[in-house]
Amino acid sequence: MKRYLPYIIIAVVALTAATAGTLLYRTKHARIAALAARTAADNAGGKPGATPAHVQGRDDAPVTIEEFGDFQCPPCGALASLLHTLEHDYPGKLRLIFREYPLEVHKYARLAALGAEAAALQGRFWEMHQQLYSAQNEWSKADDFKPLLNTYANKIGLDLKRFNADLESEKGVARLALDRERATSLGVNSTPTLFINGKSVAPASRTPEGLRAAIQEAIYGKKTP
Amino acid sequence: MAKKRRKSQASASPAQTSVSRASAGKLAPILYGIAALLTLAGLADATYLTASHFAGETVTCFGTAGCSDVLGSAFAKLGPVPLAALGVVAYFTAFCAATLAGFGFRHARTALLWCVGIMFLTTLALLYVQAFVLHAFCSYCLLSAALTFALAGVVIMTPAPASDQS
Repeated sequence: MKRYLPYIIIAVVALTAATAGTLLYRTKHARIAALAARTAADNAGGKPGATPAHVQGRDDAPVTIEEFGDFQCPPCGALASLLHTLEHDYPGKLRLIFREYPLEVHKYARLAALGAEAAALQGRFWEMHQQLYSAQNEWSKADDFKPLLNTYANKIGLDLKRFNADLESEKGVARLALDRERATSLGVNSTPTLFINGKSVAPASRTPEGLRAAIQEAIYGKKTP
Repeated sequence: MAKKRRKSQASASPAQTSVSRASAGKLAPILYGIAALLTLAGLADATYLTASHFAGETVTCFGTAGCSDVLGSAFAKLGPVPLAALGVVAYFTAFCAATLAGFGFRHARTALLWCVGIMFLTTLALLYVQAFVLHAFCSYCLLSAALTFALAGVVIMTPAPASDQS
């Protein structure tokens, strides 16, 4: 028996490695295929928008909420808070995508959007998103927004020199243009505009009850009473 | 130096020689066992990277941010074959050699020395590429490098067998 023991050990290791490798490959391959299908579904009927999009939540979440938002629009601020609550109410079920749609009527909306994009270049998009919406009343009424934007950037731990350089760069401008193209291709013309699993949400349904019902429908496939 | 060692070995008493052989005999299986465990860790690392490569997944780094830069570079492949797959072959070969050497098989130690030597030199070259060509480090590659260095250290410490078993 001892004579064969090393061969048995080697065979067991070879078999284990081959099985583990195959399982790993299959799991990853299935996940990537699902992700590709989801991305295709996300982009169905519209231009792709800026990639990678700003996404929060699990890739395999059953509900994708895509928002076209403007940081200076008050209903967008209210919606951000509501979406935050819903994320807690449906853990692991929601995947949020934020698309930039700064309206020209809002004096600082474009700069705020560029600020969020510059923060994204340092991996802090959602922190800036939260910061801008929570302090919306403050900066919307300010005479000069830029110093405040720097204060927020500093508060969320950004490298200010890099932040200001990115703010002036073409990267953010290009992303805004791509998101705008997607918005136009989907017929978006106001903020906030929401899509849940690719279906447009009527403004009247942007209430806590309306969104919960839409999410339930997306998860369970039927409307709740 | 070598002459001196040979001289001191020659002057050692038969009792001393048998004691040192006995301790080397006890140490060898432990060292080959450690070597086998290190190769298993390397095998797991390389298998993970190979599976990720063929599945088309971008591997996420832990600790460093250069996995995609390194694993997506031209240096991560040898023709159509990913280096990670060659790593699987190398670690598995080293595992076989370490296991067989641990059981006292003839030539297994020599095969292990050659295999680990090639792995060591390849690792040095790949570290150079990461540091000076790509300017990015992949934590999985660094783990593999650490395992190979440890493996080389262990293998060098293994005593040459007094007599081989077939």
